[in-house]
Amino acid sequence: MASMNTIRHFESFNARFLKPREVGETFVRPPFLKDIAASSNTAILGPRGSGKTTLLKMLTLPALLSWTDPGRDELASQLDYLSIYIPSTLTWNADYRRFSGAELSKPVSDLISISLFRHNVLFSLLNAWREAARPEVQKNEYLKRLSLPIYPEKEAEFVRKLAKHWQLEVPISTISGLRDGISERLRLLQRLTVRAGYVGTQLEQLLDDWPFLGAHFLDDCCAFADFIQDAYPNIEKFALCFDEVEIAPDEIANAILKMPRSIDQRFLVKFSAAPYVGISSALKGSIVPTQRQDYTFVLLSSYSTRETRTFSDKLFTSLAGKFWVARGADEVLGSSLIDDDGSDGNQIASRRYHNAGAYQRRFKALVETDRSFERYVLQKSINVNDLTVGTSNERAALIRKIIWPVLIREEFLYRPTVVDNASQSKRRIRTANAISDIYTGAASLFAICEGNPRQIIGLMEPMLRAVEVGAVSSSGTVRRSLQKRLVERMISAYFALIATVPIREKSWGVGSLVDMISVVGTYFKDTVLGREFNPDPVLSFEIDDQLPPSIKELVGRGINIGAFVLADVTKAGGSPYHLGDITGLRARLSNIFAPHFRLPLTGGRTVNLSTILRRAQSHPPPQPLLELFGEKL
Amino acid sequence: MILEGRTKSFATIAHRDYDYFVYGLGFEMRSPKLASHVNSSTKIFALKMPERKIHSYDKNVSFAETRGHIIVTDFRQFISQTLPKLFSKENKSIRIAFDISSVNRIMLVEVVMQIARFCRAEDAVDVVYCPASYREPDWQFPQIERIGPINAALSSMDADPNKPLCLILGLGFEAGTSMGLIGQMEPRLCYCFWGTGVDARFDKAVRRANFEFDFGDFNTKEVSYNLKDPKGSLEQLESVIYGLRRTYRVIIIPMGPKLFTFLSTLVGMAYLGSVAIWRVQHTPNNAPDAVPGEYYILSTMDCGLLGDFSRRERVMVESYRTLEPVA
Repeated sequence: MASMNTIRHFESFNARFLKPREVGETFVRPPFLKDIAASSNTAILGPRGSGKTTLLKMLTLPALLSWTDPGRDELASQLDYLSIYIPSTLTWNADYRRFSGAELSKPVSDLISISLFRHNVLFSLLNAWREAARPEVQKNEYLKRLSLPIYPEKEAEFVRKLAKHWQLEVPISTISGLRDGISERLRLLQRLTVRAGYVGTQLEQLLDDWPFLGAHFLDDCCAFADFIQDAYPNIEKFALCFDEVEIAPDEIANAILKMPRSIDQRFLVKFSAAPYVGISSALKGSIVPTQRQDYTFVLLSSYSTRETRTFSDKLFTSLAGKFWVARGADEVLGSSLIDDDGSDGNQIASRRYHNAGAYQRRFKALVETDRSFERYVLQKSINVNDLTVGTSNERAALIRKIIWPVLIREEFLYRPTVVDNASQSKRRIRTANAISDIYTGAASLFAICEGNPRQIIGLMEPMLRAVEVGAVSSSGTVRRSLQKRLVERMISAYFALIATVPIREKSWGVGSLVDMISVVGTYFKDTVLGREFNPDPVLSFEIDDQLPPSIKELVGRGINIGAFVLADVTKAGGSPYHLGDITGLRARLSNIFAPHFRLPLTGGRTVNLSTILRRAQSHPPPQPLLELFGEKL
Repeated sequence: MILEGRTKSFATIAHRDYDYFVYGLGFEMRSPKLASHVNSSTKIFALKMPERKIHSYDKNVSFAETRGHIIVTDFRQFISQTLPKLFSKENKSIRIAFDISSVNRIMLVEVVMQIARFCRAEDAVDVVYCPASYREPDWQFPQIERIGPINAALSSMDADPNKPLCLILGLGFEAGTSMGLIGQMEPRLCYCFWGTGVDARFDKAVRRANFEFDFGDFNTKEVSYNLKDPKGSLEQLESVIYGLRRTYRVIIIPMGPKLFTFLSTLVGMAYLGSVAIWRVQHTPNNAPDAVPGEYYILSTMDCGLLGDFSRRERVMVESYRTLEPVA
């Protein structure tokens, strides 16, 4: 039975609001967990909702203790470090705390920001110690190596030592007293910030009056490590896990990115960030964090199709339990045209190629209505009456690679429409209609979500709720009409989110991220649904060097919010990826836009983004509206 | 802070015998509507909006010039010099009205705060608002250019930034903006206030623009307020915020009717330093016209309570000036 706790956790999709223990209770193992947990410096890069915070929190002791997956013990036994989770917050930024008064000078702002950050690191070090002191850690066979018990007779001595290292005044020599000391310091920093805005305090004056502002968090970490290793010889390594580095002030992000080169070998550095970390673009030469040399980069949007499906299925099953639904995704959501292609012997899928099978019918229908496709079929000697001819490899080369363009064209072009009377028929391009059926069913829905947990949960919950109350089709699956309505709503909400992304300046006719997505999506759509059948439509773009910096920055912001998906830069051969340098990389539109622009849920050819944008300057695309398909939500 | 609030017919404004009347001179058709009804002996200040020669802009400017309105082109000077001067005559109380219908939100907040700083208990201050008649929105997603505190004083400088965020959104029919803001700012809790009581078509449009108030996975609560009852609506907003301040860092983002921006300003002034008022700046595009409806909404202010704001503000500024270094 799903407990109330479980329900609450799923309802809070954002792991930022959850304690590590709560994250562990509902954690579904994604691909890459092993890479992230490895004893190395790791950069976890992913757009919003891709699970970065969850993954970092899962390295902490409370999360591991509450995770019930059979793989937990294996992972726990491999950890040779104590994880210190350090959440990022806008409140590290002095300018954010200033609220009012004059803008702070950069040196003053940086000084206070770094001190704010330093004190939050102190909180995290203290939290890690307290978590490791819990008796449950000691009782766990695999985690007891990381146990740091606090003996009552030693507590006061420990606290005094740490307070001295960290230059803190504590009201009482207990762990709580130490926390109070840090809190008091943060309150002081807050007031110093506001005051600096009002009276224009100078850097020198601040440092003279408040010497603690000159302390460095790296020294605090080393002092903590010295202290712990002195008191607990069982701990050899620590992992500093910095979350959401992209929202940290530049000076702090800069310090974190360079950390592997400046901190001693007892520390591993792991951080999560959106894929495009603006500050690293401003770093020069040898200090830019580099794949392999500084960090192992893990790009969360680069799951393979199979990995995405496996993870989505697991997450669905976990979520379904909350609604008392014990069936798998295929059974609940129904099949999809892209389930698989039958190449692995799947009988149901391979039937689609047979006479009167789903694919065969669509190929044949398109030949009858699309002259350009008819020519293509003749040229390639494809027998549309029997697509099973030839070996599996031949089918892959000839048929499977054009399935998506055929499905899309057959669905959206030249659909015969009867007008006036039954004897007259006319062909027209379908214009306004809701999401097509081809984007429904388990496989399509999961492909649209691309393994993004927040999107999967957001889309699946209302469907599972419908199943729970019996509002399903006669076959027991979630009604296609509901699936389409929810997908449409998700896209619309996504456009609304994207409209909040600010733009520095309008250039090349692009005035917003929504504009850019419309331009790119419309270009892709034209290559699929253009006058001539295109077996290999353009579905990705290269961020080429002809683009101005403002456009590249906008693409970067689009990548961060998940609107664009980078090709897996971490596995590319040749020169290693430099964090933040997106020039020359390949990207595509997120699959979430596929139903809106009528695009295949698969990859395609690449062209330069500058080519796409130049063309759009003379043919600006229509803007999306709240109700994307002209129907009321 | 509002003694009385209710709807009135346009003709009744002439009977209120204002000494001064302040309104926004812009492109909306409703812009000079109330000014055109005030008593002829009233001194009228027309705060000139940034020039956008669309809809009724030229006609409105011409109207203001013909009627001898004082057209204010330097808003800062109006705020810092002209407005304080109106309240400076000893032994003479004044009657002043501020028409918030067509001013932008920054001006609205600045004027209300400045009146609060200088008004005396014996003065009479009215805030008037002319709701527009319904027009179908274009349903395009407006591009947000900037979002942040509306001014320094209402930026919650004394709130604890480490507390979880609670957003109070005043909803309008800007397509999807509320959804975008909630998705972007990820508040722990969000109250969505939406104004009703003027026209059922507005209600429908607000619902539609805001995804029928279904914000998916976020923790949101929908609260309707009566646009025709500013006093009751203020009490409603204030009571919600009073309970939230202890646990949350509260940010109010008033969109939709200007009346809600006015109410938010009053709450921000009442909880100075702990509640922030933010503003969303959209990319200027084809701004819709606002045609005046059939009545206006009157809020009669309690000048004694307005004056409290000024005292609180002075105390707060002083507390930051006197912060001493630790020995």
